[in-house]
Amino acid sequence: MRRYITLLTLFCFCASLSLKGQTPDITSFMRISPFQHFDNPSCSTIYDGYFSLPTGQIHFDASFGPLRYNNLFETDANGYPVTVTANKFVNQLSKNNFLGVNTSVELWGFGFRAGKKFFVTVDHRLRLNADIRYSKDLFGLPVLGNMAYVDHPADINLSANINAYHELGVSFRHEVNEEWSWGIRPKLLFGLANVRADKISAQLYTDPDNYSLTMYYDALIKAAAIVPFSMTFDRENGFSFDADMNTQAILGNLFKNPGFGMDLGLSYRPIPELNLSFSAMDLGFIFWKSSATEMSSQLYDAGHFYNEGAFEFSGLTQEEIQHLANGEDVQELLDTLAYYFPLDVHASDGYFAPIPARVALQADYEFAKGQRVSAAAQLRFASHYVQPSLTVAYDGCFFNMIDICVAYTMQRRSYDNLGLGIGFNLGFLNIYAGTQNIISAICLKNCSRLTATAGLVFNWGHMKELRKKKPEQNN
Amino acid sequence: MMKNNKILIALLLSATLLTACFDKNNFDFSHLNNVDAEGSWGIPLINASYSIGDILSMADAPEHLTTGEDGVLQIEYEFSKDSLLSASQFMNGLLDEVHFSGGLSFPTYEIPIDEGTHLTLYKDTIEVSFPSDQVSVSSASLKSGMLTLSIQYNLSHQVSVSVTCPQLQNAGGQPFHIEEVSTGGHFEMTLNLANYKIAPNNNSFSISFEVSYTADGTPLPSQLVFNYEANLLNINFSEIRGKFATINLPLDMSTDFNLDYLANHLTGTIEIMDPVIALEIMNTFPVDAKADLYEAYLSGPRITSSLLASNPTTIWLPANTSSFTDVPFPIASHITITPNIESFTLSGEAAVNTSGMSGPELVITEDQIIHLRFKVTLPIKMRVDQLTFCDTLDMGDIEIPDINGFSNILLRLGIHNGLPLTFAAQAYFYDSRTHTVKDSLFTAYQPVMCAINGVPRLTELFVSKDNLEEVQRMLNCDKIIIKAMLDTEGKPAAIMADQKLKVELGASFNMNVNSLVNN
Repeated sequence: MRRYITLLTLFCFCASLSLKGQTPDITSFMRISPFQHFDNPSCSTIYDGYFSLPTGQIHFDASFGPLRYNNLFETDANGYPVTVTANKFVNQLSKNNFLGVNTSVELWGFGFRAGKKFFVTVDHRLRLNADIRYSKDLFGLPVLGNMAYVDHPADINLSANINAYHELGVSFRHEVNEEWSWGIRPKLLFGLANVRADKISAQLYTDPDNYSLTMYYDALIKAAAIVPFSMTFDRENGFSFDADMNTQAILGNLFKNPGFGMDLGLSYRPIPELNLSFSAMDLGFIFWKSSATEMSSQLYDAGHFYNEGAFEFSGLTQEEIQHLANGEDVQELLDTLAYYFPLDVHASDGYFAPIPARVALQADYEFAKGQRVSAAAQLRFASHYVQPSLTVAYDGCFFNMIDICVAYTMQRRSYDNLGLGIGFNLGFLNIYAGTQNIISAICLKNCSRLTATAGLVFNWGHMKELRKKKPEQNN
Repeated sequence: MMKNNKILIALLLSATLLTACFDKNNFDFSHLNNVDAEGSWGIPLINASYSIGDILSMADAPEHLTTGEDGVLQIEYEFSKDSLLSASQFMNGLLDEVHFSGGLSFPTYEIPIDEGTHLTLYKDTIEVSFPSDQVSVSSASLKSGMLTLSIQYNLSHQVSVSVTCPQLQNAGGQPFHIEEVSTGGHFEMTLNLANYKIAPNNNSFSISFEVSYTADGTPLPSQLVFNYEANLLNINFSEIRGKFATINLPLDMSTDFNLDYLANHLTGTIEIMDPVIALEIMNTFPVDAKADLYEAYLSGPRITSSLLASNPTTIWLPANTSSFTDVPFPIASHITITPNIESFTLSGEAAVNTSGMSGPELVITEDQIIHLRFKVTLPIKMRVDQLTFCDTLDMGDIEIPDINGFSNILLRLGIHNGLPLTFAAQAYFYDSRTHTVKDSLFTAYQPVMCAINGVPRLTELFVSKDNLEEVQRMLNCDKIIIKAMLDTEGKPAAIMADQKLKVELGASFNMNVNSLVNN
């Protein structure tokens, strides 16, 4: 047994060496929560069934990375923020940085045991996930200046995938035997709004001798929403945005961005005290069609500042100096520079965008009745990067009605994620709340992550099995 | 169970303690008033290549700047004497307006009055001569001319008047002769001589007139009185055949020749190698002409530089050239000037038909003419010895940028000098209100070395100002005095049109956003 635990711990530790981003919800470690299947459809529940109203589960998880208060502001003796510490913030940035938001609200759902081997759930959730990656130089260049980049280019990158959608899922859990069980949840997805920045990329080179600037630049952004909108851009009139807030039009688009998703899970219980599980969640995509719009911008050969795909500025030329000397407006010169950076905005036929998938390995060990420790390693696949995380948790049930969970999550450059979850089972009613980062509630200044989960769910046939009995005990 | 309760109590207590640490002041952003952001920036300002021509053009120099066939830049001024000598001008002055007058009074007691008796009452001849010191005319065609004759007499009888000029022939070759009848005591005649031809005898021709009377028995007044007045007016020739004396004409020409493009010249001279005066002439006369030039010089305040190799310099203007033709104009191989040159002056004398009356007979027509066109070219092939300029820029109207928030300002000037000129410059920041020089751009004159064998040399100049007060003091000055010095290091240097001075100006500075925001 110790060997299993040691190996699992080592694996999880190694996987967490470069952790960042969202982690499993704390409810997945809480034994009396009926919603463990949201993180793994093969997980068993202790109830015979449940149903929930819009209060079933409300979950919010935001990861700020280095974009934390202490990095951004300096306070005076009274605690008031008085200074924006831009240099400090930039120094705290990694080469690539992440900003993520995950929110889900259970609109309605129910689950029930079907025979001895199956458990079926139906749920309808509203979900929002935003994954934004930005390079250090996005802020480093405007704060530190281009002379900080004379020996290497300032590499500005920004990518984002923001999805708002609702999903209707039906899950089936099958307990093959006392050791193995598996689960699957196919899901219909309906997109509400999406912004997908595949690339907003610029590289700026500065010549250390004469300060000549060379820039490569490329941008592509796609957007769609059930709110009918149109965007246009032309040089004379600028950017214009019109949205039709007519309710009927919005409702008419409610199902016009279809998608499909799938959750898979597999559990193995080698001994009654230990459960090992694997899950692959949110494997899917949405085809965004309503008001789909594409914005792109690439360097354009608008004159002598363009050279082999790059914008090169080595200073004003003789003719430009002469024009300025003749009283021509500087603004006119700057306006001509805008031609090198055209923005093309046009409606598109639609596009596919994946939802961020995740895979996880989890181990739960019940060391005493109602007392359990867990470890979970997760990889979350955002649109342009992978977010690993490692969580260890303790969960204890007290008086057969109180469930307390303490969790600790390791992420790269974020080691203060101490979580706390509390649940109360009042017979037919289960109330619970929790966070993955309790420190954020009392020390927001140094908080890199803000999470909260709460819910109220009705259930029946609860507390049937807090621990699988050993075969010999059954006898 | 007891153990579980302890864990529960510990967890709840910890959560309570942690929650007590929250400070709501941390999220009151109304006191936020500083931005701690200091970056280092480098910006290229100028990347331009200038030839000497570009630099002179910026100083409003000119259309006078050209490129020679050998690629050498040159300053070129062109001017012309459209009509040194015009045949029509010459011919039309040969016969001035000619006026003649005369009269006669005599008693009539001896004049028979028997009816039918014919008597000549008055007769006279006018002699008109060409100036024999200028021309000996064989024949001359009149382009225009008027002959007027007015005779007054105190006779009421009818008289006959005849006018005769045998040397004056009409287009048909008929000699001029008319007879008119006059009554009332006066006779008036106006004759258009256009297209008549004069064939003078001994360079002159005569006009004779006669008044005659046929008696009818009526008594005459006791005293007869005759007065006449004859005029030759507006005599213009279209052609003269004959021999001509030499025509001497003064040749005085002057034109602006401005080299003072850049700035006030202080000291030093420019030795121009191989200056050129190109002369083009058009001489449609059938005889050669020549010009003796006594002076040809560039001049300005305190400088006069002659271009003539010898004095006088004689230039032959060949005959019968119907279009402009180059004529050799030997001048000095080099001249010394300063940029203060303001004008070019040329003086001398031209002579047409140098053989004079001893030469052959000529046919001169009214359209014959001599044109002169000069082009003075100074190739910028020169030897310059510490030629120093000075100019003052008025900063009074320039908006001074606010440099608060900037520090460690470094200007880097990279000059790739492809010119065969070494030069040096310095700028002084002058406050005219206190009459003091507050600062200079460089600590000393900064030489920019000339190209070697046409290969540009890079000179880097740096202006570093760590102290903001120092920069502010410079910017507060109202004038910038710029001094520049050129030198060819004792050797003649030709400035080619494709030789460039590449200037790269960049500025680096530290910028504190907080200072900028607060200002």
